Amino acid sequence: MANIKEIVEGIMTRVPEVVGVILIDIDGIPIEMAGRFDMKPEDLGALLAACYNSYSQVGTELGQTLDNIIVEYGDLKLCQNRMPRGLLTIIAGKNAYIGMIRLEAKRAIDNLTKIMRDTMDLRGEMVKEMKFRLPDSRSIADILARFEKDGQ
Amino acid sequence: MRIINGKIYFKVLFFGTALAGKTTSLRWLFKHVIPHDMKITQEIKSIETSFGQTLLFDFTPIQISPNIHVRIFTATGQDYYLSTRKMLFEDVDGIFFVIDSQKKELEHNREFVEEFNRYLKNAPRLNNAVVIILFNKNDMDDIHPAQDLARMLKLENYPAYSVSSLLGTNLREAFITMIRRMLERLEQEARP
Repeated sequence: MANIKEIVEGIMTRVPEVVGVILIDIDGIPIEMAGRFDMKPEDLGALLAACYNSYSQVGTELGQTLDNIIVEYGDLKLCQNRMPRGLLTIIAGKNAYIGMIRLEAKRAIDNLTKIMRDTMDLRGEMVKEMKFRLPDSRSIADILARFEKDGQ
Repeated sequence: MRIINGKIYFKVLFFGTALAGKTTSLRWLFKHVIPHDMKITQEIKSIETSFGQTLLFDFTPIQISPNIHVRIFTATGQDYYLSTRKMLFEDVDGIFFVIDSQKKELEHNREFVEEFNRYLKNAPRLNNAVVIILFNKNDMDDIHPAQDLARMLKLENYPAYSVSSLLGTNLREAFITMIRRMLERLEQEARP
């Protein structure tokens, strides 16, 4: 089965006019992306998550669930799709067929959902397994010392 | 805390009444405390109203070690943006509760303490977050002393600093305490 990177990049190659794909955590943390973006993925992720959550809240007030968001800019179309604990956003040129993008998004989400595990489930397990080089008391002190100096 | 692609992501939120000094505090920290090489972006991303107040949030991500990121948000303080504020509390690891120490703001602060307590009640995971109270505007006249405010607002159980977000007084110390406590919790969690 394809991995996350291959699935995300696959959308770029299969759908004409697609210029970028970004997969973010529900909180906006970039997980994977393909294509070129003129802004930092961290900023883009935070904005996309905020947009989605705002529309989701509007839906809640209207008694509706939000499936996806389609935005049309001057030269671009943006299609944002919800998946379990994540959001898949596809950006395409203005001539792109939204139907094709939605279909591809649906397929990709089905595949992504199968291989992505909720990070909350992974958390305890990964921390315990010490897969990370976690900071000890000494490195915590080193990090904190960096904030003692003026950031300028 | 989130773990994504082998990195740990902490989330820190500035919460408090409108014009309490959340954005000003973040801007001061960004300019004076956070080293350049830790900044992932060179400016704070803000979504503001047409009159310059925070509409959705201010946001800046920093990288404090090769595998630890801290994402810092400020929540909008206006009452009518309650619903957008609520969503920022999801999975938060650290909260700076910014209190406007001016006497005239006491009731408004009380409302926010109530809102904060509601979040704690409805989202038990929030109880694991590091909470630090910033009694802001200590450079102004006609304010309640921090200790009195802590008692009046029933916030005595949290670590607190009397700060001026405009001058930066005690903000560095508060930020260091926040990062230290979050890292210590992570260290404890990993201990066998």
